[in-house]
Amino acid sequence: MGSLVVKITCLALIAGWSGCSSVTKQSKKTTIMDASQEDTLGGTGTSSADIRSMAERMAREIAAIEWPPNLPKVRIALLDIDNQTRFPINPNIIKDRLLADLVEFSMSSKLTFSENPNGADYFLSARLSALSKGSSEGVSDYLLYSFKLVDKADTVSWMRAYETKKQGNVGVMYR
Amino acid sequence: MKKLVVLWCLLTVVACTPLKRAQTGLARGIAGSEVIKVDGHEVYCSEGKVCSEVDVLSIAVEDRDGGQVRVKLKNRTGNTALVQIRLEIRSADGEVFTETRPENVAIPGTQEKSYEMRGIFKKGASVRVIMNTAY
Repeated sequence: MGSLVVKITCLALIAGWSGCSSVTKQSKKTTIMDASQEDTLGGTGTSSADIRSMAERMAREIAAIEWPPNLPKVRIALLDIDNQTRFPINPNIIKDRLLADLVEFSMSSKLTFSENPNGADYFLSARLSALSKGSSEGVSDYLLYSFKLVDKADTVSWMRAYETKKQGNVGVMYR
Repeated sequence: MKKLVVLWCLLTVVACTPLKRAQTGLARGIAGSEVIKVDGHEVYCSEGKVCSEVDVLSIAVEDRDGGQVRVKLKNRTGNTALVQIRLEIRSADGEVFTETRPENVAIPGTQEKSYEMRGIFKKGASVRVIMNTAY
């Protein structure tokens, strides 16, 4: 009788321990991820985490700028982003994320945003440039995302950069 | 034998949730989260290992609305460390005013690095630095 109880207990423990599959674990076909999470495909170019981080950084900084007090409203026009890297990413993904963050973080300020440069007080432009290296061992990419605000007189009134450097041993296709 | 199989199935169903809880609890106990205080601010490491590999040396703030937060980190390992950092700006009673998105920060082996975020601080608030392993 005693050995039967031990057997049952052991079986139950083993079954429970190993048989309780996780209900939050995802199937292998498609994995739904957090947008700030790096995927397992790798790649040395722009990642979704980079876009989210850089857009937030730039938007928070622009929202915190002390603007000339004589301007009741400051109208900023977002210009098209210039992608000079080897990665064929659509720069509008950065522009749209940036615009959404600018609007969110500047909600109670005197900033207004537009994609139309007519009548703007400042112009926000961005450029993506890269230093890329490759050998039989792999590839390395240093990416520089530079953002600048210029006024009507073409004077740079604010400028910030976001940088990434990634090295990998496999090439990944950006589509 | 039949009884054994039935019992096994029954016990598996009944014991699944508590056993899973024990399993994850054990894993959490081993990898355990950690909270430390630095310069009057809080650092939360989702896994204690993160805090043991990357030190938060200081947290400095510009005490004004829209001020800057600067977190000085040190990689205690010999390899380039990658951590995911998030900041929460909180009132004295724990209300979260602002939180940032997670950002991956790479720190070269044995070196120090400053992580800065401008335009987020609120006067009189405190910072909670959340450090996770980056995936």
